[in-house]
Amino acid sequence: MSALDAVPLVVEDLQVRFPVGRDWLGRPKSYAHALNGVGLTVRRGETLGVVGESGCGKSTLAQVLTGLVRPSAGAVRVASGASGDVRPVQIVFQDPNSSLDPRMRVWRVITEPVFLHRRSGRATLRELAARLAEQVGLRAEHIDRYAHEFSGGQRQRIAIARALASDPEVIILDEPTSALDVSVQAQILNLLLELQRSRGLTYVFISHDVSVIRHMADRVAVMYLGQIVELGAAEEVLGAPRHPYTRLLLESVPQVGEPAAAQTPADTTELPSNRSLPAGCFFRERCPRATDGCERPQLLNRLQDLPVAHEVRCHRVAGAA
Amino acid sequence: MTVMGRTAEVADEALLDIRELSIEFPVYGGAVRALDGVSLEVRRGEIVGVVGESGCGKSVTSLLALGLLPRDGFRVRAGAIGLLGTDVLTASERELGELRGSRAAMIFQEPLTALNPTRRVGAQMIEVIRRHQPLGKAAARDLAVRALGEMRIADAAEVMRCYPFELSGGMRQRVLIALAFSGDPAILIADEPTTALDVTVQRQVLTLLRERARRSHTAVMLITHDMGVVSQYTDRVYVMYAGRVVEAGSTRDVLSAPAHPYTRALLNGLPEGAPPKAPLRAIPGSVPDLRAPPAGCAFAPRCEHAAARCGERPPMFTRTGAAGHTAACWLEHMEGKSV
Repeated sequence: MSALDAVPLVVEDLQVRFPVGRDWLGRPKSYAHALNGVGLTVRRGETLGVVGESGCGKSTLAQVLTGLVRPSAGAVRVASGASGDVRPVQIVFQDPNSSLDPRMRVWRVITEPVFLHRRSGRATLRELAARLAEQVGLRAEHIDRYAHEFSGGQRQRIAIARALASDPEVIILDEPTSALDVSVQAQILNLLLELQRSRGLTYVFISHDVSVIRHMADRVAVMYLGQIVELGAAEEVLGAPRHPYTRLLLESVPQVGEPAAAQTPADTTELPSNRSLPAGCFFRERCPRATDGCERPQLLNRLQDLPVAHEVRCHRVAGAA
Repeated sequence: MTVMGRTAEVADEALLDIRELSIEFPVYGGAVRALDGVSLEVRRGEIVGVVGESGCGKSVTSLLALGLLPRDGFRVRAGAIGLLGTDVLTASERELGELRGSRAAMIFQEPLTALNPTRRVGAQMIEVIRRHQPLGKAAARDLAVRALGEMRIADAAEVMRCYPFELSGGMRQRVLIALAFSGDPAILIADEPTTALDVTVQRQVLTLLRERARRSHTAVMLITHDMGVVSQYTDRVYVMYAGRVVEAGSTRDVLSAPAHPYTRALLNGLPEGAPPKAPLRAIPGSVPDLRAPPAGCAFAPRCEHAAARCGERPPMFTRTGAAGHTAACWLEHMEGKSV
């Protein structure tokens, strides 16, 4: 357990497949392969960014980490929290409109994670809710309202307060600002950074938005078709991307102030189907640098020349051993 | 046809000309002032961005421009919309029907809801093409294949045999763009066309859209919430806030030297500009309730530079440095550069 103190979350070779269609005996006809061998560690107090496009498995990863989906293979190991009896991993979902119970008063929503475990009195729970509400920038006297009485940004604050209620080891943030406007997004990102600083929180920050990940993350994992293709320090991965997919992703982000590039877009931008996984490198068909050797399955190789561990799943990247 | 008196010289004039438009939606206990004095022009061959946060009125503007909102659902308080010389607010449904899909086309955010899920893509394309052009089935099919080819869909025949759910999001949006261009429109209105798509697909779709529009000198009104998209794909931009246009001008001027505090705040709030982990300059507060819009500048309650005057009367449009660059802000106005 001592090793887990510095590393509250370890994921080993995680695989998740969902059955697609069943025959008359109830046996699955085929599978959608959502995660194909994801391994990572999250260190205490850091933010691990997970970035990728839709269908890359990042939300499935969030669900596995919180225990909402059981992996087909592999393991998730979480340090048990100080309180022991409460789930050590909490999650903030993308859409606060659907993740908050419309029939619960806010103080009940916020204390939901500890309601069953602590069996505290109503007064204690309300006190906890009021304290958390103030920490996330809501007014303590508003905890008797319902979720619909708040704006989108305030609702996301409620969701964050709920995640904090059980003092979790790790908070999974699954696209926490994607449903919000830019001006509100800035408020929520500021709040998350402030809470991390004051409470020493550990985040797994999942987003499709590269600029948000760049702002928030210490380390970044880039996912493609259920695999991590690049993992390393944020400034390395997003500043000097090694994997061809990371490069494509970063090039595609529209930048303010950059003149419009007149280049013709790549022809194949289709993600391969996850029903039958491609042999060899998953990115091979879209890759501009594909050559011999790409038809073999690619391993995550550690780059030798960098101080912080940096892994790339591409045999063509120089320095990978 | 109700003509705004200048059908002949429409080529040089604005294809879409929205003048001082104010509308409201009746709701329980009052009305939502969705648009308040919006003026907006789209001229031939230019790509115009309309940017703003949710609830600012950008989608309402685009729907009104093609007369797509049910007439009994809103009240016009003032203003007019001229689309290709037709007065949209008074035109008959038949006149609008002739305009839509041929001379004026529209693309929506979610391509799956814009296609009929029970019919093959090809059949739907042929039907739309034949509705506006006197073509036989075979000729319409050829046109559809050609239109898909222009959107770099190589196996057009294969795609036309598919049902919409069999295509990816990017592919569906390219089908709809191909369809929108099949009637050779003078103006295309695209309401958040790539918001539901991934960035790599977004780049492809927007680049194809821009290339295609440039080739046929089609004007495009691109509604988006993404400043990056505005920056890379538009010539001019209108920034909207709480049902009003607060700033307008060439994209380069507006983004490099934003004159309105709201535009500045929007750009400053993006994580791109800030060093990692540094606090972002968030806009305090939230959007005003449009059932009771503020008397003065709509942004005044959240503006860090607001003076007493800002709360009293709405600001007028004021010219700033560059040609065609205007902003509705009292602070600009007080420098004495009234239009």
